[in-house]
Amino acid sequence: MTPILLVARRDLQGYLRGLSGYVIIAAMLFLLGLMFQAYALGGGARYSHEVLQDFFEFSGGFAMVASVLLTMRSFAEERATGTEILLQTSPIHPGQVVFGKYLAVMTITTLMWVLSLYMPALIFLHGKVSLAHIAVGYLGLICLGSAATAIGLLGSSLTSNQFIAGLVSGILLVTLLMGWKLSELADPTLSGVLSYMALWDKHFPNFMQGKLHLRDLVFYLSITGFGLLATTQVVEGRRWR
Amino acid sequence: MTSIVLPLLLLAVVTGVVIFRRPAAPIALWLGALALAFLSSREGTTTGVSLGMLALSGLLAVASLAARWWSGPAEQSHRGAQRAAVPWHVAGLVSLAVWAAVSHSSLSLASAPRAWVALTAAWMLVMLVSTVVMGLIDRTRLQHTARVPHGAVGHAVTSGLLLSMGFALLFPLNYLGNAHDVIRNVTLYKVHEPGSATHQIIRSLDEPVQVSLLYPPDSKVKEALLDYFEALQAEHGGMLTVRAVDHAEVPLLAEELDLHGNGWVVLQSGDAREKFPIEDSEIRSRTDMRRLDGTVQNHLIKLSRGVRLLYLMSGHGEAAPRSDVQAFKQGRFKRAAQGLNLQLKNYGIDQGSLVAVPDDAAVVMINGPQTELMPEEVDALKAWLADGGSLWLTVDPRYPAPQTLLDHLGVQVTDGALAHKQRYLPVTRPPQGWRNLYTSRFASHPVTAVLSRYRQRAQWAVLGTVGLSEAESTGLPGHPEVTALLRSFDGTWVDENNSFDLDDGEKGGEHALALAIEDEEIGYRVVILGGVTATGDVLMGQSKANAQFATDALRWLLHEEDLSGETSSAEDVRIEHTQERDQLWFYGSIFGVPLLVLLAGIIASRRRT
Repeated sequence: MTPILLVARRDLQGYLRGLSGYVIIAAMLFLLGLMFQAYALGGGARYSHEVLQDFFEFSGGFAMVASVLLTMRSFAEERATGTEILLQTSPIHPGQVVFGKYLAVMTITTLMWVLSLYMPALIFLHGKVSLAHIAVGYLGLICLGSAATAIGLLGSSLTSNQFIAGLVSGILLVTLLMGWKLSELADPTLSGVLSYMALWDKHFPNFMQGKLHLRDLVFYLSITGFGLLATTQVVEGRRWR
Repeated sequence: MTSIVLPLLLLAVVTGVVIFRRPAAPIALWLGALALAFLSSREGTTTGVSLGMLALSGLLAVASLAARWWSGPAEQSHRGAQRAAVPWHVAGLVSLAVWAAVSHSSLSLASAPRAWVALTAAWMLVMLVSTVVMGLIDRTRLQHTARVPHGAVGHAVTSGLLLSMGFALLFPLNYLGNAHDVIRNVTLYKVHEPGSATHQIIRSLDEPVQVSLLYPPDSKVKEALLDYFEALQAEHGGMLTVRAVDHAEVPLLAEELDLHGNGWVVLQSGDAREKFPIEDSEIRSRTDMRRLDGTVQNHLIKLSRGVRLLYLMSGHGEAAPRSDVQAFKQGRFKRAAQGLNLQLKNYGIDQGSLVAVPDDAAVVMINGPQTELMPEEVDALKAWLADGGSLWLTVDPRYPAPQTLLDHLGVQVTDGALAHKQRYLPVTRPPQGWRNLYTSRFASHPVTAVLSRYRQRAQWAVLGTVGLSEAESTGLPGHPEVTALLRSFDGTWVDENNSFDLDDGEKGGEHALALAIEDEEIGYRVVILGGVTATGDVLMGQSKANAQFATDALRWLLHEEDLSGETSSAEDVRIEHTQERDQLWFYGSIFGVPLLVLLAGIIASRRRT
């Protein structure tokens, strides 16, 4: 087994052998189900594609919250419990550690989305949407979750306190989410960049509407890549302390 | 100018003296220099103040470099770290100088695009890399107050380079992704995609059209509209251009069109202008957005061709847009005609139906007359056709056929309604229901070109129809060409004795349900339909094929068959989901699955203990 998979398995076991992973998934599904019934399906007759869009809109928020909740312990807990030293002294490259932890969180979030599939399936009871639309929406959730996970890992690597790690990740995510608002205050050159960098506003609605844009995939992958690179550098930097 | 710059200078000197010898002085001064430099280029800053701030920024930048010699411990490893930072610091200074030269000179993107882009990219990249590397070296120094470990500075440089270059790489990567974007729209309801009919209309335009979207910069509705119009712009080059502007940016246009705010789409072609509102609210605009393609088509036709008139014959009990019976009511047909910029007018004795068809008529329609036409009316129609006019005649099995006109057109109708024991719509029970026919057998003709393309899915329907066929002789001038547009499935019989069943002597076969007659030389065109319910509200609403047939037949009669195509619309199923009806699903989705997940978690954690 490669070092990356070893780290991923170790973290996955950490989530699934205890209650924490299950509680997070159950809480997310409960809230998502509530929102889906109350807002997406509720409020009178609505078109199928609007119901599906609303489902993905709620789910996008949950994707980010779940990523922050799952990643806040990734490195912070290692430092708090003193197991970080084991990782630092092991022959595994910090990049492999980071990617392994990223894979573990992504597996849990993907599992959560698989378990939520019954919600869009409910639309087929009385309505009609394309399966490809559902697939594109879920791809968007995974992309958004991936970017949020990378940012969450960065936040977790910066501190030994899980709560502060979650707070830092939250602040980073909200800053990226607010890109469209910040762009209104910036100079024209910077405004375009900030608006494009908005984690949600410019890129996620396309997935919600069943539109797959190459540019959106590139955006989320590049944010994920940079987040993981930054986390690796932070983790590697600790070896020199 | 002096009132601002002098206090700033004083503050900088005091701060400098206080922190100059502190370990963090170089990076603090450097960041201060960058902040001042960028503040100096803010819009609204006067030239004097801007230059003063820029000079101060230069001073701080040089001071930050000098601080590398005098700040921090004199221990050898610290001195080594400071020396390692010097090249990055110098590179940073150079990038700041290039930035100052670019932003405070006459060089601009418009005057020298290549030089401006190259210099701007260069200063941005060098400034980013040098600042990040410097910052990480200084962070390493600050973390190790006694002695900087061997290799730590090297790691800081590598890490800084990787981080800054990784960040810088985000931009070209996303630029490429944006420039070579590939789009796949997989939703069933392509609300924001122009249909083929819209493309055809634009291809037929003589003059280019400019589309102005009057919306605020952050409008989501504007983004959706831009998606739609940019697809047209990309396909038709200069024939259609789109721009998004705020209402306040185009005061003259707004005043001319009496627009008092945002939320308007304006189409301009030469001196002609058309406008329609779409509210700047994602929720309130949903209905309008679903009909966007049809609305745009309507306005494009108005813009290029003006209003045309469709004369609806009256006085013989014809089916009308305001009928009480939904199956016969022609309200949806009227809206389809209006979508082609056809205005409907009555054509009866008061409008001179006994004398002649009005000169301004584009099409005359006789929709299921219940009594025979008067000879003078038939004569007027004969003259109209001989003159190259267009006529739509619908007969119906419930009423006697207008035989004189049919004889002139050279068309025979069956002596009874058609019926089929398998290919019928189950809207009423057999045997009556056997008369409600549907078909997917379409001819190769401009009227049925779109339907033929979708013959696997498209089903044209009618609630009672006669069969049509070509008579041995015709009164039409020239060389009329007759085409059976729609044919019934094999096994359709004529219920001649009105028994609703297939009796002895009645045998199954194929029958034409709609005919098209034309003479290219004279120019007349006729569409004949066997059942009036085919254009009634029930079937026009339920069957897309019926709506498409009606639209394309009208286009053909207007000699605009080149514009035939699909209208993109968001026909969708509304879901009404109530807790009472779907209680199992309701509780299952809210509680069931999360409880199962929790249960799995409890079992997993107990096993472990």
